[in-house]
This record gives sequence, structure tokens and C-alpha cells, in this order.
Amino acid sequence: MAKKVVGVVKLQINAGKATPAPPVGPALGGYGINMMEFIKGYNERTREMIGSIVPVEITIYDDRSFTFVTKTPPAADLIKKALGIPSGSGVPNRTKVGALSQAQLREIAETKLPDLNANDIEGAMKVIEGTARSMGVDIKG
Amino acid sequence: MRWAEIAVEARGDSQETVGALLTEVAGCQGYSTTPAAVSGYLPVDERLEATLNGLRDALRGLPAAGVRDVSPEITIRFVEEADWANAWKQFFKPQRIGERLVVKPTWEPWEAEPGDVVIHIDPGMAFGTGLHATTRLCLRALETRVTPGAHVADVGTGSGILAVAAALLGAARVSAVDVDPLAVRIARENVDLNAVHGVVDVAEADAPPRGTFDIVVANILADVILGMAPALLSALPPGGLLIASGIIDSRAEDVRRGLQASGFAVEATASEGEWAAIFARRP
Repeated sequence: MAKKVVGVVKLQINAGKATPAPPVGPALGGYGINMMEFIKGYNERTREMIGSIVPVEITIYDDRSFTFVTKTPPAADLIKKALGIPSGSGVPNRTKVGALSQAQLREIAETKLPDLNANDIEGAMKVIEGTARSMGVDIKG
Repeated sequence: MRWAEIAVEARGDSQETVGALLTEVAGCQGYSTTPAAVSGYLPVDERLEATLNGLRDALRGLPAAGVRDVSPEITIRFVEEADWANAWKQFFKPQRIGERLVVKPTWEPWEAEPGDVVIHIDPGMAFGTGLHATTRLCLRALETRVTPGAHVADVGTGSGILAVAAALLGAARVSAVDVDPLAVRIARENVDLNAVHGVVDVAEADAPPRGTFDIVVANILADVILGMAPALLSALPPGGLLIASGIIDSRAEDVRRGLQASGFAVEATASEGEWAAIFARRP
């Protein structure tokens, strides 16, 4: 008999360093899976990507078992890596923390394209540009 | 501890941007998404109000950055840590593993049949409910391999479930260790619960216990097992058995090779789902 899916949870968390603290605990606790067991699997699976946020999509079944798949890092993470900055701006409308070149913008868009709804690279670049601006990062050119 | 759940309505690719605001502007450690919203969590403290104001400001700036499909409103809900820390317990039911072993949470009733070996467990936050493939692989292995009077070591005992199982299966002496003081405390509680404190000793340590053992079970992780392989070998007499578990399938070959390089003779590999347990002897 096929197992019934009771929920799908998407989390964006630090590779190799998941803990029961939010967002993992509150997001999974309600589904009745033992979160220590998710944490162990996630941390082991993402251990080589420590330092990046690695999004994960967890599918929970009616017998409280679960499976998960990892996705590309969030745009904010890739933007910070490209610029070599530790964080975005706390006041993005006023304080700018850097600027992405068109080439960097395209590269990030190419990485993210498989996980975005955008159909083409131009659409993906628009999404990344909006995210960059929202965290106090300008676009050159 | 109280947390504020901060939810922002956002759809499609704009969720990336809202996620960036939650982690970069508000300082959330990650976030979760549903098709219609993005949620992050912040501790409830004196900085919360200022952080939320900063977030609202940033949200209002999104249309100017060309980001659509985001509501400028924030929905806040307060949650208590206890609400989720214990929520999974209601789904932890007694389960039979192998032929005779039954893992039973302390709060659930169980009518034992003749021959059942019932392990009473309250795992707390420590690993090892028997619900996980890695623990089940070890329990099945112990059931068939622990002989009466055996000496067993349990390295990375977690909730103590494997040490207790070994004792209930007839081991004369079980030495369990864990690096986590919380796990040591919970394991001791579970040893007492099962009335095997005369047999099982639990200590805080990051290496196998002193002495040699007929069976050493290490349900940890691939890298930890590889790093400890020489110490695991010295904890076994010639012919002694290592049960190495907690190994994700993609690492099983690494671990088999590493154990061989350390002087083990690898006998077999059992697997369940994406997890493997490797059986190896000291020649």
C-alpha cells in the first residue's frame, strides 16, 4: 500500500549544522517525526557544504516516516558569497553593502534557475536582482 | 523559551527575496516556506520590536526593487519551545524489531508475549528511539549476535537503547559511552528504567571504553567511525565483532575501505533505506 503524504516542509538552513532550534523544531514538531533523526540525516548529507545554507524539502508520510531532498542555496547566500560579505544590509533602503557585476548576476541566476519558476535566464536574473536590492546590494551596469 | 514566528505572505520566486530579508535583515537562522508564505523565527527579547520595524521598512522597499507578489504586512504568532520539543512523542508507539525485541516508550502500554524482550525507553532529546533505520539495524544485529555472558561496548550510546538491549539479551557486562553529557544522563535514566544498572555502565567519553569486548557497537556517523577505527580495533580481541552503523549509503564504501585499512576483516553490510550497518571482525 502506498504511503500517504501528510505534509511537505521546506526549510532553508545551515548545512551540517541543523539543530532542533527554529525553524526546524516548530516546522517539524507538529508532524510528529522525531526531529533528531531528521537533523542527523540532514547534517550528514550536507556535511561537505558547511558554510552555505542548503534548502531542504521534507516529505512526511502518514506513518511518520519522511524523506528529504536538498536544493540549491538561496539567492541571498550566493550573493553574499559572490561579494565576499558576511551579511546583507540591516537597513537595505539606506545602507548599501556592495554591488554585483552583470557577470556575477548571471552566474547566480544560472545556478538558481533549476529551482526558480522563471523560464529563462533573463527572468532568473530579474529575481536575483530584486533579492540583491532587497538586501542592500546594487547591480552594476 | 518563547519565539516569535514571523510570517510574510509571498508567492513564487519572490519567496527568495523575502527569505533574504528574514535572514539578512531580521537575522533569522533559516526559514520555512509554504506555497503562500515565508516564515522565520526570532527569540522574544528586547530587540524584537526594532528588528520587526526594520523588516517592515525593508518590505516596503520591495516594489522599488522590482519585487512583486509580497504583502507588506507581517503576521506574528508566539510559540513556546515546549510545544514542539515534545510534539513528536505522541507518535512514538511500541514497535517490534527483529524476532523478540520490542521498543516501548515509557508512556505507552504493552502486553508482552512469552519470549518478548521489552526495552523501556524515554529518549528525551537524545538519539535512539528505535524508530530510525540506523538504530533498528543495530537492534536486529544485537538480537542475533549477543550470546549470554557476552561483554559488549556501545560507543555513542545516545538514549542508551542499544546498551539496554544488549543487557536484556543476556550480556554479562555492557560499557556505554557518549560525548554528550545530556545523552549520558538520559542513557543512565533508561538503564535504571530497565533495571539493568548492575550490568550496564554509562560514562562520558569520546573514545571506546577501556578493555576488550566480544562485540562493539558504534551507531554514530561515517566520519566518526573512520576516525575511531584503530581504537575500535583495539577494543576487540581476535575474533571480536564490530557493528558500525549510522552510515549513509553514499559513505558505506569509504567506511568498508577505512575499516579494512585499519586491520578489520569486513564480513557483511546490512541496509535499510539510505542507511547501512557494517559488520567487521578483528582477524
